[in-house]
Amino acid sequence: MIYFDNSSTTITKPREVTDAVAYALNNFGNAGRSSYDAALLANREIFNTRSEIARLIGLDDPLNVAFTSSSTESLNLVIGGLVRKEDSVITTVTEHNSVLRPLYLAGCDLNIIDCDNNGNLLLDSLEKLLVKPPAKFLVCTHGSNVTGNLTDVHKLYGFCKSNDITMILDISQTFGTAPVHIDMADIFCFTGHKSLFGPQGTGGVIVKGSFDFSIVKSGGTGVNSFDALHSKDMPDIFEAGTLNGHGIYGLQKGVSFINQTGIDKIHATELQLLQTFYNGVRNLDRVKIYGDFSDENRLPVISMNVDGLASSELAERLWTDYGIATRAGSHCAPLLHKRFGTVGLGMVRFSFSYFNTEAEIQKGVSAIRDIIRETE
Amino acid sequence: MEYIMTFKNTNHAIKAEQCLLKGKLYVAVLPLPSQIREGCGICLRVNPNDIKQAIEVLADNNIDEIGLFLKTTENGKGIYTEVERGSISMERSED
Repeated sequence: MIYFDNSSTTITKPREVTDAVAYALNNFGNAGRSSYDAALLANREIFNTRSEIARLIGLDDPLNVAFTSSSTESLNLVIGGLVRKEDSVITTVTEHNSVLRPLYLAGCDLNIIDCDNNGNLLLDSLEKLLVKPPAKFLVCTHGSNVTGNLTDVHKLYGFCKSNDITMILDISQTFGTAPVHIDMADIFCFTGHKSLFGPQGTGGVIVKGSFDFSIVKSGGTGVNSFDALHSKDMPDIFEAGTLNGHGIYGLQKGVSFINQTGIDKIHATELQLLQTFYNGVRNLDRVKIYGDFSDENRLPVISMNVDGLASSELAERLWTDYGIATRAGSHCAPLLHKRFGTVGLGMVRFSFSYFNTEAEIQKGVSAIRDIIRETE
Repeated sequence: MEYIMTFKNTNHAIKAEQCLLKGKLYVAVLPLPSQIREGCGICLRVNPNDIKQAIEVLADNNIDEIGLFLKTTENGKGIYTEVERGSISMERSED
């Protein structure tokens, strides 16, 4: 298999990740519940995972990293814990359903920033958003899972700080593949199983400062058992019940690999692969590519269609005839597909990882050329 | 005689343990004595000779809301007496 669906999840992980999960399965007790060796081992390694993540994002206090099961759960907890029906919230047309649906559920007033034909957000008219009831929150992705365009978070966060707006950044697609820094937003929601190379079932929330989250999730924390209500302290507020210690230890090794390798090296390697692929397909007949490739600072993602083929047909041919795994359809990003007019058609997304090779990229380009020729 | 340090939750206790170990101070993690607080939890045992330095290390790492108890034993049972952190600092400074 040639695996080009790394935006969905990464399959090739550093060997240390696999070893860590297997080790934890047989050695970890329940973190935070006792003081015998197995329980303390789990507790310490979970803390060490917080420390690795804090190091990657430039955060001082590891206890401002809370673990959840996924970025989706993180966004649900954060949005559900902060946004009220009477609030006004800014978001964007590039969002995943894991942002949009919790916002719709909150019933808040939404101002949605549109994009241009290349998927770049239209940020020149931000001040117009202030005419409406003042926004309390801005929730947006750091990088589109469809186009691979990066969001200008510097500009957006500057706007938020100037207008007393709390910025919640979805870093599902960027954390581990592009530089992400604590100074980019107030609250970050991340997943562990994509570019952080952790196991599925890991993710989390990172906060800068303190926020008045409502308690959305309650249960055991291993302390203050006779209190009626769950703790509001970080990280306990998001961590009711037994943590996925096995997965979190695996995640630690994935993040450690990134810290040791260097995010800049990983980002550059992936962008080189993307550039090779892009150069190979950009001028082919019937190929339409979505996104802005004039900016070299982007994600290693390219979504495209071949005229005359539904995205599902192209993806099926790639898999059946060439063993190439891609992602067809709408990528849980309904507003962007509506904006591009691809609701019925979908797109085929190729997303690359640090562990892909130039040879695989060449085979991918060659496969697309063949399919175009065969379907003329 | 030994000192027992308690924290607002188990995450803070583990963070404190890591900071103290980095500072080359010997600590042990123990179950939270029910004489101090009902329910579950963990605490740290600190050598009396290290207590002043331990308090300073934790302050340097912004770990607050620490409870400090002096443990003595009577007929094999632990007796925990709460101690003001300030008094420890003063005592040791005057030494």
